[in-house]
Amino acid sequence: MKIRTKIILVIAIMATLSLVAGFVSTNYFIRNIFMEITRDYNILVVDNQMGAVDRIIYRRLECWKSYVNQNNPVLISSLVSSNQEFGRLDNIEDYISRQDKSWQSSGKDEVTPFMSSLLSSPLALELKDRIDFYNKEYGYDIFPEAFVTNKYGAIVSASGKTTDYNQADEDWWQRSVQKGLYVSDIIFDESTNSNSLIISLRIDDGAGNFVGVFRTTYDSRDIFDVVKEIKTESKAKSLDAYLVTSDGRLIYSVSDGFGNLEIAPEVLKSFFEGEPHIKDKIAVLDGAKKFFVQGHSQGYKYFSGLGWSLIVSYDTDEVFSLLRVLNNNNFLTVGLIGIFIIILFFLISIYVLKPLGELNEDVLIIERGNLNHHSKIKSKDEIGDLARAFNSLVDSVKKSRSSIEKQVEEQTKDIRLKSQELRDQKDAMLNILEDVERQKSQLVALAEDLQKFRLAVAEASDHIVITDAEGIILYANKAVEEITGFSPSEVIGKKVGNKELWGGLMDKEFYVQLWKTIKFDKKPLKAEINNKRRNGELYTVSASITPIVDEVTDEVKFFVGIERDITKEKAIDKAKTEFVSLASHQLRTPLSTIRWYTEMVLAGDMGEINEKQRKYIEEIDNANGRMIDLVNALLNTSRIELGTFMIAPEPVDLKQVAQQALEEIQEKVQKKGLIIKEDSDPDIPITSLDPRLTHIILQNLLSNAAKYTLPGGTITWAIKMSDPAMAKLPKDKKYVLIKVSDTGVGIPPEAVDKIYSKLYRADNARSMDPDGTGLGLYLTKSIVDNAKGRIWFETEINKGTTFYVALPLSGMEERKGTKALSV
Amino acid sequence: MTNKKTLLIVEDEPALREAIRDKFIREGFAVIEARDGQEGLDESRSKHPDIVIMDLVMPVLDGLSVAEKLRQEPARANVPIVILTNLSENEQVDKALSLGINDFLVKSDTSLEKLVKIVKQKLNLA
Repeated sequence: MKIRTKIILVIAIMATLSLVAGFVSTNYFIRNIFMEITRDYNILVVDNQMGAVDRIIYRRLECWKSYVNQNNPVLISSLVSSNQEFGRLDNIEDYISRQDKSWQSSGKDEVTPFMSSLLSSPLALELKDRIDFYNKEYGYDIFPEAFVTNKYGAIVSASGKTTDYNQADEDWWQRSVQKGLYVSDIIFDESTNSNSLIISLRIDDGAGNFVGVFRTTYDSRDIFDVVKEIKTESKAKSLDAYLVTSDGRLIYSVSDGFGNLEIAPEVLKSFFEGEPHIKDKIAVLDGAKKFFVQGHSQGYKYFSGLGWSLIVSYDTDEVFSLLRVLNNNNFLTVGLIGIFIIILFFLISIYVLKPLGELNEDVLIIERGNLNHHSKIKSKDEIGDLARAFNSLVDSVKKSRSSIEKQVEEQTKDIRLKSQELRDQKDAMLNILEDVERQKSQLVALAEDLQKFRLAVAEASDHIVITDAEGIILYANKAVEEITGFSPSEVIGKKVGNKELWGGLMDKEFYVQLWKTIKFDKKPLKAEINNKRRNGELYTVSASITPIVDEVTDEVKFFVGIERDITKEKAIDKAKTEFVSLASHQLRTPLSTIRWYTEMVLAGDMGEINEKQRKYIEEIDNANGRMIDLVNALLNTSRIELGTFMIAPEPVDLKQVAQQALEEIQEKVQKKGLIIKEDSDPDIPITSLDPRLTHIILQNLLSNAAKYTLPGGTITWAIKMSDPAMAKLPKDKKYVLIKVSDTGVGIPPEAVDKIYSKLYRADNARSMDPDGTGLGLYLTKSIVDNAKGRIWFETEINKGTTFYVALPLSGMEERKGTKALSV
Repeated sequence: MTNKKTLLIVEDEPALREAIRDKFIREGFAVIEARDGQEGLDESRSKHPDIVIMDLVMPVLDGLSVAEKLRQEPARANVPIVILTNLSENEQVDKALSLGINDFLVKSDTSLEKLVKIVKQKLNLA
């Protein structure tokens, strides 16, 4: 046999085997599941029906329990008076046994006058009424009789004649006195051909004292209906159900009805062997294999049940009939598939294996060197194709064999040529190597430069770090240790701004903003940052962080951070501010004293003063006024220089500010007979400006104009939205223009460059107003610069000067400083 | 004048305090003087001035603390206060404004005449 044949045979056997195995295991599995379901379902049904039986008995019990428990006046008073009567007797037992004997000796249907009195008492009538009521309701004599004894066991009232007078020696009587309730197991009564239960109940008076016992007989045929229900509810034809007592007597079976409680078949009894009881089994009964399921009585509420069982049986043939149908189908399928596999095997061997064998022999012939051999397979399938392809392959091998020899000759020629080319390339390489040598020496020089540069960075007194795009430190110079206290090796590899190394003292918002600026906006950032040294000391740095952006990808490659420790400078600044505050306080008190006392003297508060006195005191007042101005100007200068003055913008009407400033120079204007003109545009928008700063600007420009214009000259002021002079302003922003022109002495050429310098005064200005401070324009320019505005002027000696201040229309930006400038 | 207005000056510098006192007496006011913040507080509680002129930097209790306390006492919460000081610190101005004090004057920049004018305006006398 060929290997291929073997393989196919093995596959066929394996397939058949697995098919059979699959069938067996599936069958077994389905059977188990089916059994499990059948069992669980039946247990549920049987338990439920058994419960229904318990509930019925409970309900019958309840009919009478409610009767004896409700302090029925007739019942209780009859029993109490009977008990009292008996209590007065000398010998109760003797009395009862005497009465009992005469009771039993009477004829079966004979009613003695004594009996008659017990059968017709009000209580007896009540019992009869109740029995009649239930019997009528259930349609048969469900409670054939009922009677009541007193606490000594003697009958007090009865619905009909009883066999005994004395019941105290009866088992049911004693049990019910003990437990309050007794239900007997089922009893077969031959005379009435009925199965019944005895129900007896202890009777207590309202105070809970035992006064007597109630008993009735309960014909229990109504419970058979419940058992019958199983049969009527089920489709199974072979179903039978049995109600069995705990000692194995058959109460009722669906097929035979109720009998005289004969012993149940062995199979049914076997369910009671062992605890817990078996729930199901398969066994033979009456020659048939049956499946049994058992439900055991659980009782209901205070009724604890009688230990009965309900057992249901089916013929196994019927239960598992479905399973059999399934099995038959499976057998058929397996058989068909088996036959199919065998046919398949034959077909494969005929159509595939045989030609393949032939082809194999053809290959062997050609292998031995016979290139003239051809395969004879002509079929039109893949094997035929293969044979044809094989034949053409043999032909081309034959052709190529002759051409190969020619090709070998040609290629030998090529190789000779190529080896000459290689020699040439080698010479060229040597030349290149010489060039590389030259470049190397250049690189060495470059490296030396780089080394110098490295040294410069390493030794710089500013703290320099280089980080990657994520802020991880790649390089740190020596100054890092001097400033932070951590050595370069300790910070390298850590994230810059790391809380442990830098303290993380700034607002979270600050760090977020910083990162956004350098990383996402890719813009350099300058900021003052508060940090903490290794030894816990706080320090402030002026930091400059620059992102290095890749020109090609436009992504940040590195960050270079330079930090200068400005802690000492800040401390000096602070000391300076405090000094200024102190000085101003110390200076302003005496200045105010002089101001107010001269004011009072001049006002005549001290009495009349003569002209000379007035003149002298006015001189004191003027000088004092200049001192006050000087102190204010110095204070403002120091605040501007410290950068601590605040900018608090609010809506400002520039024209109104100008008017106020004009009022302040009114005195001078009148004295010198100056003419004031206004040339403003009609609609100037309200602008968001700091009113104090704006006032200082206008005050300085207007008071300078008044100071340096000769008597009778003209001052022209204007607030404008457009003016030819505004052409020189940058176009990216809109501005509002303040323009102040005078016909004054002008600014000499040599002073033009210095006019905004602190304390600088031009010669002609000095001669016109010897008391000027040289701070006014310096202050004005500082404010304008801080407000991102522009200031410039046009001047001509002895003709006049025009000052222009352009403020951004968007207004001043708010700045929280600690000091407001004095106006 | 039948209805003399009472002015309380709280100022630690005697020369300045006396100048203001003399000026206002001349203007027909009844003037009470206090040399520090605590005295100012006591005087305004016992003598019920119609208006208070007060320095900020003073011994014992500073002016803004006094103003804050007065604003919390219903009987004095509405008495106008004029701050007269040497310094115009931003925080102080803010605090004064938050206490409803709009008159925040720098001593050397203010003439007595102007002071009298402001006080009279506050009392609706002008």
